[in-house]
Amino acid sequence: MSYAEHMDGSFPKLDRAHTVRKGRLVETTPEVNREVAENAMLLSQGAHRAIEMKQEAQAASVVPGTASQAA
Amino acid sequence: MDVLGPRYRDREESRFYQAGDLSPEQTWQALGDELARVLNDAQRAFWRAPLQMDPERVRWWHGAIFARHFPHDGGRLRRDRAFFGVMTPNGGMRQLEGAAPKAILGELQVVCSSFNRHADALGHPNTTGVLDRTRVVAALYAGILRVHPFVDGNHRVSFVALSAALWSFGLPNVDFEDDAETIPHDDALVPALESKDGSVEPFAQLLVDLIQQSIESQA
Repeated sequence: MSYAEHMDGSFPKLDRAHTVRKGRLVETTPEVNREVAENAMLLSQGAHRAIEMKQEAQAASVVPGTASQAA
Repeated sequence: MDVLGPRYRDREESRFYQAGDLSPEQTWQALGDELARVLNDAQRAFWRAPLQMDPERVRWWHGAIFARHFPHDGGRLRRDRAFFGVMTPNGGMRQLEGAAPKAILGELQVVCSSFNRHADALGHPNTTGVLDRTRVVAALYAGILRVHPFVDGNHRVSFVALSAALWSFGLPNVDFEDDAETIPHDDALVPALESKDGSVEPFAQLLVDLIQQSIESQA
């Protein structure tokens, strides 16, 4: 990423499309857009439902034997 | 796309819960692929380029996301009343109604015309403040959501508009992924969804905060 000049005194002029992801500025690629699309799909369920869905998916992915070994 | 991890499914009552002979999970993934493709196209077309909004573009985007798997619903404006719930910041649930079916096109035109007028007035991105730009983006995003032109998929098509508008103004798109971003996203939108005259300022400021934080993290 290169910043040719600044706007607003603090905001850099971006020479390519970027996306704010996990608090960081990343160049937008098809892979980034696919992940952004996934999160937009989740967000379309409403933030609270999206959080529940992620928690349910996380719980379902935990294999009991693996969890006890890790502990 | 298994690489994305968990397999989700839409609400069972959603028009886009299950397509043809796909499972609900496969449908979710297929629609995610389509949404990503539309985002790629929007990025190519509108990065630092003028975005002229009109209801037909909104309808076209909806069709581009959904029509391949749901040919009868993709790009089709709803003909019945629509209600959608929002969680208020104090934890209560509020039921809101989208525009009356006969008013959808007119209200969507007002939202799009307002965006075009304000975008024209912004002038060159290099000399315009970030908040000035995110206010215009926020009004477009919240406006489409408030009108609620489609039976389902309103948020996804609004998100394409949000992304295209941010890129058009030379700003980064914003991914709402973490819980610390999604809850403020919903909270900040409520005032603008409750009425035509509701404030877009909270959402515009949220966009600024997320963008500025990402810049500071680069330093």
